[in-house]
Amino acid sequence: MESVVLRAFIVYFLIFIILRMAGKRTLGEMTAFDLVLLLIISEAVQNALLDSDHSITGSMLVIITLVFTDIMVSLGTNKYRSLDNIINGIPLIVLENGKPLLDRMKKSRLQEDDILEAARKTQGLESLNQIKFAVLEKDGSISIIPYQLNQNGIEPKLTHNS
Amino acid sequence: MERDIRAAEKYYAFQKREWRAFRLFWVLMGLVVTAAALGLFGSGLLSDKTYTANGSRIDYNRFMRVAKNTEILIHVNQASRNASVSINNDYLRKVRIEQVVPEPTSVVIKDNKLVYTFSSVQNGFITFYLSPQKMGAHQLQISVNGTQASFDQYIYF
Repeated sequence: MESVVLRAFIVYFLIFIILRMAGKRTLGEMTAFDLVLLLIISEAVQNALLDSDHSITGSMLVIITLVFTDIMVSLGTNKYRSLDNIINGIPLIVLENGKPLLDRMKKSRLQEDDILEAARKTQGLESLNQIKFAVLEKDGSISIIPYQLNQNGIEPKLTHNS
Repeated sequence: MERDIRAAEKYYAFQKREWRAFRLFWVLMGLVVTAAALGLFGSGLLSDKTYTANGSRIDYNRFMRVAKNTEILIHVNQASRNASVSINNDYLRKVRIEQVVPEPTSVVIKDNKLVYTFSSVQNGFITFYLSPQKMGAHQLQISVNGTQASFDQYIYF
């Protein structure tokens, strides 16, 4: 059955698997090159999907199949936590109480520079010892939890859960 | 603009309708995908049709798409002889016949019909490669060595 629907399904899953196995940092912040790579991938995929089919019906069927599969996957990950872990990944703590967890960072292909960059951009922090937690999120971005500032507003105060 | 964030709650009924509309649309999308997988919009179970009569067999597609190439296969189960296939001339208004394999010895137009004559087609099949051009419903009136048949076809845009 050389159906356009079947081709769209297969391309969806193949691309998903390839990008998923590329890891979080590939999908995280997009540089200019990442954008170009994405465009090239979409071009390469077009021929596989549409072949010699120039009809509007054909391209509409491809789009509907891709979006429908995406919706079904999202419904599934919403319902089953284990499926969500497989498809989307998990958040990972990479820095705790000012101390970076170096083995986790190395495995995740993260550097202290990346954490500092996220801290500057999202919280306006200056150094690692102002960060209580840094988490590598599912989508590859890094979220920063700073220590609370005390009344005088300058020195970070170490607050522990009591 | 209202200043209280809770003012958005005024429109919650709309949100519930939106959610219902989404789920309904998803079901429709699922139906479209299933129908397409079954061949409603092109080649597939619903679309591939075979017609058998008097030793000839014609394989054709009931549903086609514009500019998506498809074929008509005609099996002739007769020894030797010249096989002759005729197709209604009007068919060319909607569908372009790209190639005929094997090459016919002659193609003439007679009484609004395209008559293809083939020399010695033994136990094989003749293929008409088609490229649909215009959308809409039409009829394919085909006759193979005198056996006439008429099929309804539909071309999607």
